[in-house]
Amino acid sequence: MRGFYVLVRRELMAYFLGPSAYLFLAGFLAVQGYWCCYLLDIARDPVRGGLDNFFEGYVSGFLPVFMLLMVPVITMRLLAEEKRAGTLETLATAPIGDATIVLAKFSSAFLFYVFLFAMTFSHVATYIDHIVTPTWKILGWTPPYGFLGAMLAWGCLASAAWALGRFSDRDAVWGMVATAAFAACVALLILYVKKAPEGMPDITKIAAGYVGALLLGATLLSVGLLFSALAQNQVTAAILSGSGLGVYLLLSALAGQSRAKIPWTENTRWAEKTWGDVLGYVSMFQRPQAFNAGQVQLDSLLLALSVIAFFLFATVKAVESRKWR
Amino acid sequence: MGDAPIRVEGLTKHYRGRWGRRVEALRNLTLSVEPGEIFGLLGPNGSGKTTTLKLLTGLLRPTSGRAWMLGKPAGDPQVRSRIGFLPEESYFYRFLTAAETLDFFGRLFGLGVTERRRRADALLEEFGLAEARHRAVGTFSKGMARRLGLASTLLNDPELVLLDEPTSGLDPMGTREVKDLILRLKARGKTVLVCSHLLADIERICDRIAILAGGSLRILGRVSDLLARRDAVQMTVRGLGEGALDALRAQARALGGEVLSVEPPRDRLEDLFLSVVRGPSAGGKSS
Ligand SMILES: Nc1ncnc2c1ncn2[C@@H]1O[C@H](COP(=O)(O)OP(=O)(O)O)[C@@H](O)[C@H]1O
Ligand SMILES: [Mg+2]
Repeated sequence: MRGFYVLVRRELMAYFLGPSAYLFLAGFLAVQGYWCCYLLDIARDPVRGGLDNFFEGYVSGFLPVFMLLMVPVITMRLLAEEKRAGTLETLATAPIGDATIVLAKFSSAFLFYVFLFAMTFSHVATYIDHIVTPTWKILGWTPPYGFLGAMLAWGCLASAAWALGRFSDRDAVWGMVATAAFAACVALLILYVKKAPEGMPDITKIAAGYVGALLLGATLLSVGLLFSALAQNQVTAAILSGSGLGVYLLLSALAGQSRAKIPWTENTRWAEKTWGDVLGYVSMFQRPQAFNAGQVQLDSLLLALSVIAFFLFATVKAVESRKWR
Repeated sequence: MGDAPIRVEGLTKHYRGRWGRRVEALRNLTLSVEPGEIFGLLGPNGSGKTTTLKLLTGLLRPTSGRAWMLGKPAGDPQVRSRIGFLPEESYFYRFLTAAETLDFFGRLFGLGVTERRRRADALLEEFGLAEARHRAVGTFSKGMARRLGLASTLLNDPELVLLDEPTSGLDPMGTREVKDLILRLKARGKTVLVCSHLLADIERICDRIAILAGGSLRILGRVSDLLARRDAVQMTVRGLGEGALDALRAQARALGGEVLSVEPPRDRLEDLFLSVVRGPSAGGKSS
């Protein structure tokens, strides 16, 4: 697993050393921020509003479109670029197996995705600042929670970038600083939510929403990784995974829509089910909403994990297939 | 058995070309490399040298036949930490500097911080990259990238070194350094398998050679045996005029010898190479 850590580190460096990650992040936060403001307006509306609606909309409502745009961009480089540049061959001469390489690629993409999502804590803090009248004061002073949340999120970004930015043997320290900043950010939110008076959403709901979003992300990233392993270059990889996920999204949108019965199931316990139901079972996009209801459901968890395992396995096979030319 | 650092038995590789055409890149190769020797793998372009090395290092799987390195089946990831492999072309991450690149590989090989630094510094110095250590590899010239490739090949202090055209892209000085390096590796008890088309260099440093042509082994043996012609001697003389040469020829005949050739000195291996390669059914084959 030594090789795994080294590879993940290099991969994250590749994300953060170039300008692309920051452009990406800025774009993501801008769009997410706009979405947040839009939802804030709804949440303030006493008729349509309500906190549950906000979180349902915030964490997962925007997610399908977001994933469709993000996943191809996050994953396209991973293996396609290494293949094109020949560095995959260089790696293959080092004492690490193909499975380790694939796992490291997946983990780095996932970490980057988690990192993006962690940035949205700043928006959650902004929301709390706007909607809930805080009673949790420090020496009679109400801290500007939205601002603090945003600062902490950006602090995470800065320290993580710094930690990864240079090869230095003190980077373990910076990694810990980044983790501590992140933990502080989460702790502040939790503390605040716990202390807050009326109208605060259930903290477990927020957490479950995030778990659902991360699971969905991990699943789709594993799909994108496979396309990156199959494609000849990153553009092809992005187009392939973009259209693949697009079709999947479309099918998911049809879930619950199609009333057509499944013909060959008359005498089975599936007799009452429609095609829409079937699509509903395999639709990952419906799952985060379910998570938002406040529970981490076992079947969703198993579905996600088995899909991830399958696609990672397929990716390892795709990488190995180069040896059989 | 088991002793030879490299053992190859009936190794065959067919590439799947376009439209289902198959390229027979290597046919039934059997050889072994003994501990501590410098083994030269020669052959014209497309004769299967690179294919052989890729099969040995597990970058490719054979169509049939087997290969062992250091007693383990070819491609075993664990064995790679004891092997240094210089591929035909060295590819690195363009945004890493030379020092960072070596550091990255040092980490992959599980070297500690101080050991990593020490070896990287020594190797960068040895291959003339000390000045360029903080430059991104993407800006390197082909020769510099080759030097970095050699440095990363030796980073893990391998007991078995495989070099695919190590002098390609190098200036004459670099070529000379590589030759010295190979001899130094041998002196330190390492085993070296080298592919090259620079026959003069190979002739001087290799203990044994194999010549491939069209994917099959043409000749294999000790350089001295292969090149020895028991009944003939070659005399290299400088500063004789045309008259003196005639006198020498007459003298040789008078002593009962037969003058086979009088010409400027040539690489003997080159002659051997050309005669072997130009034999029947030479050149790349596809079926
Ligand atoms: N990826 C590949 N696909 C199809 N044919 C290949 C491939 N790589 C090499 N070959 C063919 O295999 C033969 C041997 O190539 P190679 O081992 O690279 O030769 P060498 O290194 O001796 O110049 C050549 O005919 C070459 O065209
Ligand atoms: Mg070659």
